Order: sequence, then structure tokens, then C-alpha cells
Amino acid sequence: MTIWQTIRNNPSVLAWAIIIHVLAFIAIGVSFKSSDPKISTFKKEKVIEAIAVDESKIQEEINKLKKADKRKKRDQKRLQDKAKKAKKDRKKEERKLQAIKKKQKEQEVINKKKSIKENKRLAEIERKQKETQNELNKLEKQQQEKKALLEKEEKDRQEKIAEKKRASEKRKREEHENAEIEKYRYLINNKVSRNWIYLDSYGKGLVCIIEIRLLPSGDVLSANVIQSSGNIAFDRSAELAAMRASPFPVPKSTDLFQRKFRKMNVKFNPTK
Amino acid sequence: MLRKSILILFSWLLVNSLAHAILTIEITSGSEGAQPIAIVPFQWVGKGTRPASLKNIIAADLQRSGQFSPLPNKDLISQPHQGTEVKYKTWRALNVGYLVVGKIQVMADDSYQIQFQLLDVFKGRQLAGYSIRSLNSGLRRTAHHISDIIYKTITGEEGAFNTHISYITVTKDKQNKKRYQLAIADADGYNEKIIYSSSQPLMSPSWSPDGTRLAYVSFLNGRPEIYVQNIFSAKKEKLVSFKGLNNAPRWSPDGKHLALTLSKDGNPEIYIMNINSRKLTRITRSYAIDTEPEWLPGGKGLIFTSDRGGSPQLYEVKLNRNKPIGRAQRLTFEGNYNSRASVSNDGRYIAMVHRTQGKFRIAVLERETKHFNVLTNGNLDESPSFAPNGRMIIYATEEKFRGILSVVSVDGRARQRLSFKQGDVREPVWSPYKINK
Repeated sequence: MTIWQTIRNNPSVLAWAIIIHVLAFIAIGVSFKSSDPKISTFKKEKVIEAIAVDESKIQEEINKLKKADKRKKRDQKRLQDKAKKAKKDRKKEERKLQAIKKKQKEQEVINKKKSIKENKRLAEIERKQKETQNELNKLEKQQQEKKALLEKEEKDRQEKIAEKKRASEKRKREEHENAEIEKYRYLINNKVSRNWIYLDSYGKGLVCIIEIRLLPSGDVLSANVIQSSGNIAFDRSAELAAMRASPFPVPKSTDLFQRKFRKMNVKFNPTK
Repeated sequence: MLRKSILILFSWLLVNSLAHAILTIEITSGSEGAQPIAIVPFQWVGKGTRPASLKNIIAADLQRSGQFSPLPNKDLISQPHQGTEVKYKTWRALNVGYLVVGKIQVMADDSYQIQFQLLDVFKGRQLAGYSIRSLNSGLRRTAHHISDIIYKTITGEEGAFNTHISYITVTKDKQNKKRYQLAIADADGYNEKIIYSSSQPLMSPSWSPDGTRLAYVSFLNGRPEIYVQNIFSAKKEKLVSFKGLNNAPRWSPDGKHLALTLSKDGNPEIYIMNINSRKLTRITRSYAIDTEPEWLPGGKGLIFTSDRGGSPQLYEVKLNRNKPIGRAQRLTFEGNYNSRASVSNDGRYIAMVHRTQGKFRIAVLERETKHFNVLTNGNLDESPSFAPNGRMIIYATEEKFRGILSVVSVDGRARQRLSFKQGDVREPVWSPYKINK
């Protein structure tokens, strides 16, 4: 029997052959594409097969094919099963995933709830801590204030003592100064009086004030009427007396001179 | 805390006020005296003989006022003639407050250009400076004018140097007969002019307030009658000639009336006469002698001499439109003789003849204070008359049995005898400020 007879007798063989070939191709498609040597090997085999064909062999081949078919069916089934199983598994997996997700969500909600609570708790703690800190700060501040107050009181006390000392020194200084002022007041009075030439006949009850400006040497810089008696002769006599009395006796202390003697008033009042 | 800050504030204020309180020294006494003044003889610029010394005239004027004490020439340390030449420091050493310098320039027409400066020695500056043109004959008057300027600059009051006096002189002529003369002269007695001469006694001259006329008493008709004479034209008229005495005329401040003494009703009494209408108003009514009326400023009253109290004393009667108000009040109580009142221009002083220890002297009563001050020391001082500024009094006195005139300051500190070459001089009266011509 030739192959063609076989095919003619059993056209399905060809169909099978084609299917097998196709399947083979499909089965090794990947390697065929990727490895040229495999293809060449496969071609060789086919050539040899064609040469050595016989009935048994065909039978065998048919069996083989049948077997292959069976195997193929089995494989197909297995594949289908596998696919089914895979599908099932996927579904199962999906369900599982969903369950997990759900669980996760739930967990998240729980977590969220938990975290809010936790935050609250933490905030409370923090607040409490802050309160405590404030309390502490307050205490510290109070202590510091107390300390400052004490220090201040001490300082005040010291200052009071110093002030008393200063006051007493100042009093002493002032007493000394007043004595000096009185001394020079007397000396100036004496000198101006000696230099004052006037006449009763100028008028009665005449009083005038002369403003005197002195140099530190006591020399009269200026003598001007700042309050007139109303009688020119009297005013002039007073001005002249001040000018004639130049230099005025003045204290050596430049400070006292500056404060008291640099500018002074001399009042001429013979009515007294 | 508050209390403390108040305390601090208070003490600060106290310290502050003390620091700013100006030291005041009170002078209650000095030396009574006239102001020293240095008058340098004026420089003579030009040819010709030097006329009267301006310096001497001015110095005498100022001295006479009692307010100034001019330095004698020998004390003048240098003789500057203008302010720029003055070394003030050296004059200060003399303690003299005022310095007068000047020069006389002879002009082409023989008149003079006189420059002078009054300087404040201690302040080192000019107080007054003038250039005055003067006629040869007017040099003395110019000097008096300068005296007035100096006086006014330093005292603030009018001087009375450039004024006149009138008086009566008695001389003897070749037949040894007495001649009575009415004279006017400068206030220092120079430039005498006789405006009326008579063989019969003349008395009691009185200036009209405008200085153009004199009223006086003449015995020309054998009894005292009152005449008025223009001093420039010499024209005179008999004004009052009642029977009895017509005495002691005194011109009223308004120039329209005369106060006078008349005995037409038997007893000497004071009257006021309206010069225009000749209408009389009788002022006094007493059995005693009332005479020598003197007007108070503004015609507000009369002061007169009366012996109604037993001895001659001064009395005052108030007037309202020349009519007496109320009784006359006695003014003088010192001693037993006070007469012949002269009132200062401001009414502050009354000068009078006062008898003390048998001697007649010039005394002054300060009306407000009642201070009574005897100013002179002669034996027979009489007829006091105030200068128009009330600062000096001219009076008659006796020297070697001859009447002369003297001027005393109102405080009695300065007395100056006026020089008269001849005759017996009596009854001086000081003119008002201006003699209008």
C-alpha cells in the first residue's frame, strides 16, 4: 500500500496528517522559528519516513496517529482541563484576591479608625505633656521672678545706702558751696557798695536790677539794666557801680563760677 | 513706687530750680555823691584868640546842678579831642564814669563849628555826639546847650543851664545916688542885660510862663505899684495900682492871672487878678498879714506867707478856677520864721527862707515826706527861686555886706556863687525853660 492508497482509503489520514503536522508545527513553532537546525532535522526525518513506508508501518503510523490523536485529545483535554482549572484557579484566585482586598479595605477602615483614635490619644498625651511643661515653666518663671525680686530688693537696699551716702555728700558739698556763695556774695556786695555813687535826690523808693555777666577772672563783661527804677540817673549810677567794681571777687571753682557767678543780678535798693 | 517717683520728680525740680535760680545780690547803701565826670578842654582849631573856655562853662554848669563832680584839669591824664583818641582803660583807672571831649573849629565867617562827644568810660562807647554851629556871641549859650545835652543824657531829666534869671541890682551913680535896675542874665549870671533902671526901688520880679514878660513892683510913684514889661521890646505898662500896697506879683501857670498882695481893704491880703479883665478875686481874709503868694503847679492852689499863727509861716489854700476852697492849711512848723515860698515845677519841693539861730537860710520842705532840709549856711539868704527843672534853687545872699546870687542844688550838696562884678544883687527869679522870641 502506498501512501496515496492509504490516503484514498482513509482520507481522514491526510486530514490527520495535516492536523498533526500543523499541530507539530504549532507544537514546535517556537523552536522552529528560533532554531534552524531543528527544522532541517525534521525535514530529513520526514524524507526518510516517506521512503520507508509500509502497511504496518502505516498502521503503526495510524496507531501512532491515533495514539497521538488520543494523546492530542488527552492533551487537549488536559489543556482544556488545565485551562478550565486555570480559569477556575484564576477565579478562585480572584475571589481570594477580592477577599483579600476586602479584608484589606476592612483592615484599612479599621486602621483608619484605629489611627484617628491613636492620633487623638497622642494629641491628648502631647497636650498633657505641654501642660506639664507649662506648669514647669511657670514654676521656673516664678522662681526666677522671686529671685529677681530678691536681687532687686538687695540692689535697692544697696542703692538706698549709696543714695543716702550721696545725699549726705551732696548736702556737705552744698553746705560748702553755700558758704562759698555767701562769702563771695558778701565780697561782691561790699565792692559794689563802695563803688556806688548816687544821690538821694534822684528820687524816693527807687529800685533797679542790673544783670551782670562776668568773665571767669571776675572782670565785668557787661552790666545792663533789666529792671529799671524809672529814673535814668539812678539806673546809670547802678550800672556804673557794677562796672567800677570790676573785677568782682569770684570763687576759684570754675564749676561754681559757671553755675552761680557767670551771670547774676545785682539789685540796688537804698530804701531798705 | 509712686511715692518714690514723686519724690524723685520733686527733688529733680528742686535741684533744677536751684541750678537755674539766678544769684541776686542786693545793694542797700552806697556813697552819697555826685557822679565824677571828666571834661577835656576843647581843642581850638583855627586862628584868632581863644574865646571863653567851653570846658569851664560846662564844668561849672554840671557842678552847679549838684549831680556831677567834674574832675579838675590837673587830674586829666590825657587830652583827647575825639572819641577815637580815647584810651578808655586809663580813664577807668581814674574811676570816672563819663568823659566829654570836643573841638571848636573857626569858620570863615568867624562863627564856630563845635563838635563834642559824651563817652561812657566803662562801657567804652559814645552816649551822645553833636556838631553845633555857634555864633561868636552865642558861644556861652552853646556851652550851656551842651551842658543840657550831657545832663539829659545821663539823668534823663531836662537840664536848666540854657535858661535865664532876672534880678534887681542896686548900684550907686556918680552923685552917690542909688540906682535900681531890673536885669536879666544867663542862668550862670553871665551876659547881664539891664532892661529897666530907676532911681526908685524895684522889687519882686516875676516871669510870665512864656518867658517874654516880667511883672515887678516899682516905687516910681512913691508907693508900690505893679508893672508888666516885655523883656525884648522893653515896653512896659502899669498893671495894678490900688490904694495902699500893690505887692508880690506872681504869674499864674496859665499866664492869664496874677496872684498879688493888696492892702486896698486895709490889711494886706492875697488876691488873684485876671490880667485881661483886671477882675480881682480875694483869696485870704484875716487880720494878719498875708503876702508873697506862689502858685502850685497847674494853678491848683496858692502858698503864701502869713503871721496869722503868731509868726510868719507858710500856708496853702486850694483853688478851683482861681476861687479858694476851704481854709488855708499851715505847711511849715520848723522854727518860728518861714517865708517866701518857691515851688518846684513838679510840686514836690517848697523852698523858703527859714530863720534858724537868728540867721536866715534857704530851706526845702519835701511835701510828701515832710522832710525839712536847710540848704544854705549864710547869714542873710533870701528870695529862693526854683530852676524850671526843680533841681536847683537860686537865691540871694550876702558877701562882705554886698548882695550876691548863689545857686544851691535841691539836696543842698552843691552850692555855687554866681559872680557879679559890681553892685548889690537881690531877688533873683529863674526863668521858665524857653524864652520865645
